[in-house]
Amino acid sequence: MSARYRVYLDTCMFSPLQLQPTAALRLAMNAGTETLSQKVMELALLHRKHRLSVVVTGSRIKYIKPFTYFSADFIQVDSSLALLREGTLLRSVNQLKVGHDTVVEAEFINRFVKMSGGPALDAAPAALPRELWFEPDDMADVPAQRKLKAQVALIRQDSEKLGSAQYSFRLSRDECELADQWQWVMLPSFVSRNRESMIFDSGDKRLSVGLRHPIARWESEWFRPLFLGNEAQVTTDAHIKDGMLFFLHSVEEKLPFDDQQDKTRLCAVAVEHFCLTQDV
Amino acid sequence: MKFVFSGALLRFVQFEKEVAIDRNTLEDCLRRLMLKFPDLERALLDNQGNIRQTHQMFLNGEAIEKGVYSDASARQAFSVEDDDSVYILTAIAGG
Repeated sequence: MSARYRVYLDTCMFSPLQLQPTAALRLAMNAGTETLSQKVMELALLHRKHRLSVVVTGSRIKYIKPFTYFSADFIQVDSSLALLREGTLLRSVNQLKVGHDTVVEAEFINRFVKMSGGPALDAAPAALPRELWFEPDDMADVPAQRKLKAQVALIRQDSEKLGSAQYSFRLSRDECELADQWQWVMLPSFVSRNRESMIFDSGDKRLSVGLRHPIARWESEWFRPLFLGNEAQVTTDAHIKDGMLFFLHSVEEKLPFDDQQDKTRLCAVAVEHFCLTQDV
Repeated sequence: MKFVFSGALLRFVQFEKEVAIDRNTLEDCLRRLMLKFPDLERALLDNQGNIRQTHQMFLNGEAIEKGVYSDASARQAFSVEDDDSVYILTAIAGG
């Protein structure tokens, strides 16, 4: 563990049921940035000195113990960092603790990119220079390769489908970061409204677990960014299997090529897991 | 022909998603475009006048090979028609 600090809780971080996924990912990003500054250098300095930045490729949240706004006044964040794949990937694992108990674990994987030097902040995949490599913190070994699409295929294959929903949106600057591309921490917000629409519009009571129970686990992978003004469509399928309810989301960019063709490109996939019979 | 923009380049063309240009080659069209939007030049081209590797171009929905549009002489040899549409895309930004 590299960084440890205290975060005071506010009501916007929570739903009635749990820490919001966007808040968990935001805390993880802040903690990862803090840890990077200790192990390598401040992210802004990495930008200025090496024209390096990071883009997200994956995230995961595990809700380990019941945790609401009323559980504590503050949490402690313990953050760990490791380099993967010859310095091309950065993994940040962050334990959110009440006292000694880890209540939520939020992690993400970043890819290093080298910026071209142009004002659009355009960039291409790169590695952290070897002279900046650091000793990794201890953390459970998790393969860095993308595997969520395969997991989604397995869930689809061997489960009962309960419903499907789709909606479109245009990305707002308020949802973007420095380079006018989407804030990755907002992905839970983009997809969860589709889950909720499906529940509100459906008569299937099993689906309502997706509002009555807290999310047990969140997983996501990113393939390309959305930018300010891009039109996107979110497709969500609900599946039930082995006491779990899964909402499988994909976010695709609508390409502005030909009105007749309706071309899209996959930007991200996400899976929300809910326990049918017990709250976290 | 028309240029179509989205994403990180939009702010350099004052958020006009489509810009029509009346010229016969890709290079002449680009030069005309950059006269209209001077801030676009540094965003799109490197110091040698080549399209930065981080941008991709599509002609009527099909990806164009980088060698065909990267440098000015190649772009000058690239003819465009009135009803062509060239989409310029930024793959990743390091924000």
